[in-house]
Amino acid sequence: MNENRSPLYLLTGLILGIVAGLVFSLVISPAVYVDTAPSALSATDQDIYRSLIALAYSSDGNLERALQRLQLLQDADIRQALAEQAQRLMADPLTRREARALAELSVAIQQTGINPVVNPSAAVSPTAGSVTPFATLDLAAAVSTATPVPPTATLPPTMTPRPTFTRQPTLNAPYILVNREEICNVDVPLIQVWVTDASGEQMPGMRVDIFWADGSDFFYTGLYPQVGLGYADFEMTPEVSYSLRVGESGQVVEDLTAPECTDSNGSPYWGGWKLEFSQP
Amino acid sequence: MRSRRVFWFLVSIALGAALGLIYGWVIHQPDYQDAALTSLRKDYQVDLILMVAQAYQEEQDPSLALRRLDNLQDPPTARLVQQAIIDAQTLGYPRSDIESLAQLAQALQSYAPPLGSQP
Repeated sequence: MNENRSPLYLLTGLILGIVAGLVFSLVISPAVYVDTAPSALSATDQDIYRSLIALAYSSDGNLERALQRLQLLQDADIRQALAEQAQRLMADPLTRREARALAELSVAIQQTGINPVVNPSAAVSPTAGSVTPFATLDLAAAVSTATPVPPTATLPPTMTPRPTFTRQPTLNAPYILVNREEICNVDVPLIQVWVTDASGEQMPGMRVDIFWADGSDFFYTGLYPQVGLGYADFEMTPEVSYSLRVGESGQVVEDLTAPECTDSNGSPYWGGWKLEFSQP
Repeated sequence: MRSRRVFWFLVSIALGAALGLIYGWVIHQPDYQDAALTSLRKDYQVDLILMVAQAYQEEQDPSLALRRLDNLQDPPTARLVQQAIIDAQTLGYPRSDIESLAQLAQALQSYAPPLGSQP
């Protein structure tokens, strides 16, 4: 009689075990990453890492080291990633310094004529060694197994900076204003700057200095690649007069005050300026 | 006969538990692109702290450095930087980098008394 009993009890045991195993491995002690590389960081933490690289570069001016550090993030386009983050941070006054550092680093990389591109196929894939169910890392073990050289020297060999043709800003050639027009199709009072070289090609990475009665600022072209590589903009404070110059010895454009526009209902609002610069 | 059934019942539970653990720890891995800065390998963490120290060289603002270190330890302490100095020496960082770290550690110790008194 007993020998003919259903083996359902085995299935019950199996299900009980699976449930217990799942609860333990997913809730009580879930797998966590330890010993990860910067490329495995979340987008937010990659932004923090990238900002620190730019700030460190701003301090020591070591472009080679900055590039090696940036390549650890395995961005498909390093300059693009820097520019996009600079653009995002520029909106917040608290992160302006980081934004500037990012923009300057982006420009510095561009001026080398090298656009380091990371081969997408080189992206690190999860490996058994990179994930461990153990909650903590033995610190001593981590140090003893770390690469005996700074991490900046341990780049995967598949990430090769590839020289690409990049138009270089010519610092000594003066950029002159070729067109200045009031624009009313803007939401905020903007100065829109477009910079092209003598052949009409848009010029990214051009520094634009702007001055007003009690202050000055600067920004770079090329931080809005979706608009144009030679494009940059600056938000004006209404009723403040600005002067602007492109490059080190470019023509100074003065008396830039937000113009008053009128919408279809007759209500006034602040417009902007579109300034086009070019080399003669 | 009963003890034999109990034995196989326990075996089936163990087998199920193993399957559950394999699923949770191996198959259902956390998102590989979602790691935190605290999970960085030790040498990358040292480099990160060095970057904070290099930024501090220019800014000379300990509160800003602390805010950045907060991503690695909550709350960040001078001990974190001191440990980074030891690790940097182990990893063969140049003297200039060690000095940058040392200056940051010193600044953090004198910046806020609670930091310097951390064990």
